[in-house]
Amino acid sequence: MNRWRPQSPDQAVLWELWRTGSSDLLLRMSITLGFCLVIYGIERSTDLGPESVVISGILILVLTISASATQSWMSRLAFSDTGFMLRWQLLQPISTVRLVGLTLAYTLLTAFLAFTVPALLFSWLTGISVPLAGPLAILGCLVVCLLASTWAPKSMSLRILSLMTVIVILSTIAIIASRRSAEPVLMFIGRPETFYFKWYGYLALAVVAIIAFSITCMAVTRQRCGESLLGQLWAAWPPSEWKKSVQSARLAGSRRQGGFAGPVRAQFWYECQNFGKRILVLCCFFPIAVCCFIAVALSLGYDPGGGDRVWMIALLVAPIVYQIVGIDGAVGLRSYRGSLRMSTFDASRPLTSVQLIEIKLLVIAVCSILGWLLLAFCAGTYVMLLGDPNLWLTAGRQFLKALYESPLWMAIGLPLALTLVLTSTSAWLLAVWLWLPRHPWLSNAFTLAAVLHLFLFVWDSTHHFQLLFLWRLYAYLLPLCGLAVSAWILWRAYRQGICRTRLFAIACLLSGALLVCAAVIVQQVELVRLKLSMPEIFLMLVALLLTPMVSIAAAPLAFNLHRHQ
Amino acid sequence: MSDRIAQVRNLSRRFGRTQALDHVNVDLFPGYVYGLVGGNGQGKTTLIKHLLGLLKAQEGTVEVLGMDPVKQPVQVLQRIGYLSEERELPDWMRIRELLNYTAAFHSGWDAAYADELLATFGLDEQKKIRELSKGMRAQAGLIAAVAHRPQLLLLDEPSTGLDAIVRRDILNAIVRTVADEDRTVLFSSHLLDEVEQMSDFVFMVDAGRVVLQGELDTIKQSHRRWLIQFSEHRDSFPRLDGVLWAECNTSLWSVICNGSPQEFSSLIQAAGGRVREERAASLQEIYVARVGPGTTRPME
Amino acid sequence: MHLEISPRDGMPIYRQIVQQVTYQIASGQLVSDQELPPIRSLAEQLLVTPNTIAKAYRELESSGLVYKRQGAGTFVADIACSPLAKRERRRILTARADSLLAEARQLGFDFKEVIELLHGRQAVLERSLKQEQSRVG
Repeated sequence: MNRWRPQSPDQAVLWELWRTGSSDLLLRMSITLGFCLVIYGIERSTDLGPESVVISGILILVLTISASATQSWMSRLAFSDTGFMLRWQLLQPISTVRLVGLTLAYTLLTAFLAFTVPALLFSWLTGISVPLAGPLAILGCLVVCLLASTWAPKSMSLRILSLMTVIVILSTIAIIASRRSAEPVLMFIGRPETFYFKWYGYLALAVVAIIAFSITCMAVTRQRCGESLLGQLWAAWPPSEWKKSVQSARLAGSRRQGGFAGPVRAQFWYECQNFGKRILVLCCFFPIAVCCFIAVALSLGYDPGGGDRVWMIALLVAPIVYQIVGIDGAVGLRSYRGSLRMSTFDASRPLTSVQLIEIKLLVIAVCSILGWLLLAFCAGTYVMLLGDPNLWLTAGRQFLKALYESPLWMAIGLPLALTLVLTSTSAWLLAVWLWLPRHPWLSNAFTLAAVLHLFLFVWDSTHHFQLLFLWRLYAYLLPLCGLAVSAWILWRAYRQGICRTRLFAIACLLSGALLVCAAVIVQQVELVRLKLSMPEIFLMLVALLLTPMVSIAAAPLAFNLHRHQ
Repeated sequence: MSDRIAQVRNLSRRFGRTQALDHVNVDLFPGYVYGLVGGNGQGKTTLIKHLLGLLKAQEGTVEVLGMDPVKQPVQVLQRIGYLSEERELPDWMRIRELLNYTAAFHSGWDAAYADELLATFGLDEQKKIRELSKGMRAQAGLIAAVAHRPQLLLLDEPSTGLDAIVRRDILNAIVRTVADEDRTVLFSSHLLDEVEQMSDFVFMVDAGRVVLQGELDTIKQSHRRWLIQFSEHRDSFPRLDGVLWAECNTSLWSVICNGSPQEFSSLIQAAGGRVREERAASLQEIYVARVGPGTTRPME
Repeated sequence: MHLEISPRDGMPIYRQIVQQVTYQIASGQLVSDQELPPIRSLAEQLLVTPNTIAKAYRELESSGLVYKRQGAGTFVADIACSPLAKRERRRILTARADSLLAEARQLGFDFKEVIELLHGRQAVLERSLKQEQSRVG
């Protein structure tokens, strides 16, 4: 493959698209194929009958989302310059229409492939027919709109804003369309009749796509010479006094004249500015997204009490979501000559790696907590205005009752253990994010292995679990591997002196709380005690309990990998 | 216990298949300016990154201020000033913020000196780094690198791609740094004039090896450039001791030679040549002779 | 004190400084007991390392052209009667004379004509000096 060389600018652009997007495409394809197989497995084991319409609806929804999520527009939303770079392509001797057209054609082709292949496989496996022409037309229109919304604006905030707008408009249209039938939305999507459009349906989609395409071309032409569509409006419309006041307000907002009390505070301020702000911005978007979701659900005719449950789930998953978003910024790896690396500015801070990791974890924690409080405030407002306070009261009462019945030290230990689990999630994510770029093939290998095992498992589940011995072997092997890796990491951490730091001491303390909690639960719950008599379950539990402490030790190790290469 | 600022022993480094450094030995003594000369990708940045601890020695040892920069990064980095080749500074920072931020890490931060440099360079402290030109960015990075009066100042290609005025400012900052008691500067450059003007000692690196090192004056006195004419036409210059480089230009041979001039002129006469001119070689000529094409490397 | 250095020259920079200072002392541009600029400011002015200037000053001191006063700075020595200064001045004039003779030969003047020319110029110089004095008087 390396011997092939692009012969023309067109081929070069296509080659670049393939180079930057192939692994991403393969990943999405394998996930959707795996999804098809899972459904096939379910379908084989249970007789579905009329439910197959719902399944087909879920499939269409999942395939549409995964097929339209291509990196040719997603990379425009990433802060690190990886993936397909429009700015670089603008320097190539190729006309704008051609550049946009080629990218679009390629993206459409891959999106169609990513939709058609799993859909056909699914039809062949299960015999449930999946409509193709209609969904593909909608998918095409969707992809063009997504591309337009991310390529046309020049600044990042405008890109996010226009993407949101497009998503909101499209979902509104979808909701209005689905109101025509009284069925639940998944059943509606699953019905083949939904996608039998008349000629004017296709025409409308085509017109929307063409408009989006021409807007993209116009905007990109202006970007080529450093202008922007909105920039011209901004230059023409608001009076100059406005702009001045906006600018002076901005200056006053971020001016920091005084010095810092010490290096740690300075670094904390730096990390807050560097990525903490980004978490907070997301924290503002998350409640809005939840509101939109609830609005959609209500308009589709689900029961009103569902809103409260959605808020509860959101409150539970938000810490994890915020952490995942924060990690990318906290890692701070930037693409440089085709490989990810840490900037020398970050690497040459006169602080120890452990201190740097501590500060990063602290910033993630503080921003996540702030965001969570905001979410809780929104949830509270919702409950006051629209929700069902009784539901919350019952949940609260149950929680309090559980707390009241448990011993006192359990009530103290559990929050500590939870803190550890949350912090170590950040640490674990940090370590993995830092470690993977050093071994790029590993992530591919892991994905491949996981997909292969999924295939195997689905096959096995339809063949009376002949391979049970293999799965039991894994149940022993995986915890053992985990324990070995943990021991290795702890040994390395000991060698590098990480075990003598405050961070590690706190991790040990919290791990103690976690262990005690686990022991109490084992003592009190009969079912768990029974399960623990199986050695593989016991092994798994031990490995899992060790993970938080090990991941806190692993983060500075992974950081050192980049800092002192 | 040594009085050296930095000591590199037998340092080797590989990146994949390329040998970036090959058994390098370097000693830096306090109070001198060291020039690191070499083409792009010959190992200058790699050596500087080893001194900073941003790269871990694969073979050999690195010691800065008596410490291992990988094991004790805090103590070492606090006493070092560093200006990277790409002037990597966070884009979103304002210059004032950058200075306040950097000041927090160094107890010896001289705010008056920083302000004086800001005024000299004419930088607007409320500007963001991303709004700065290449030269201004280098100036901002330089203030952050020198205002804590570091014991060792490492400048990686400080003047590449900058105009004459900014370059002067940077050289001036080097002079001012080393004029303080016992401060040391190591700067890499491929502008040989600058190195010739600014440094007390020179390291010349090529393909990861230090091909020449020593006091600049000594190097310049020991390398001489000869113009030699032979009575009959020759295809190649005779192999004589000390000849580093020879080029023929219409029967006249330009030769760069290292060693005693008296010995060489008697050797030339014995080989049937006539000396037309003899003078001291410039660093440019020495560099070309040591690493350029046409080099007749001494047989080992 | 004004010095011009050229790094490209094969001659080490400290040698260039020594030569130029020596020349300026010998030609009277620097008078005895005049203070030379401090090492640091001269280094900043010429953009060379302070070590180079220090080396040049050391060499000047060892040849007796300048002297150091403890804690005060470097000063030009009293060289009016110093044989070294006389020798230096003679060296400078000799170099000029050599180049004059060489150029005269290339341009086709013989030695006698050069002597005549020198006499003529001497007369012109004396006349202009006299005029200057009368104007000042």
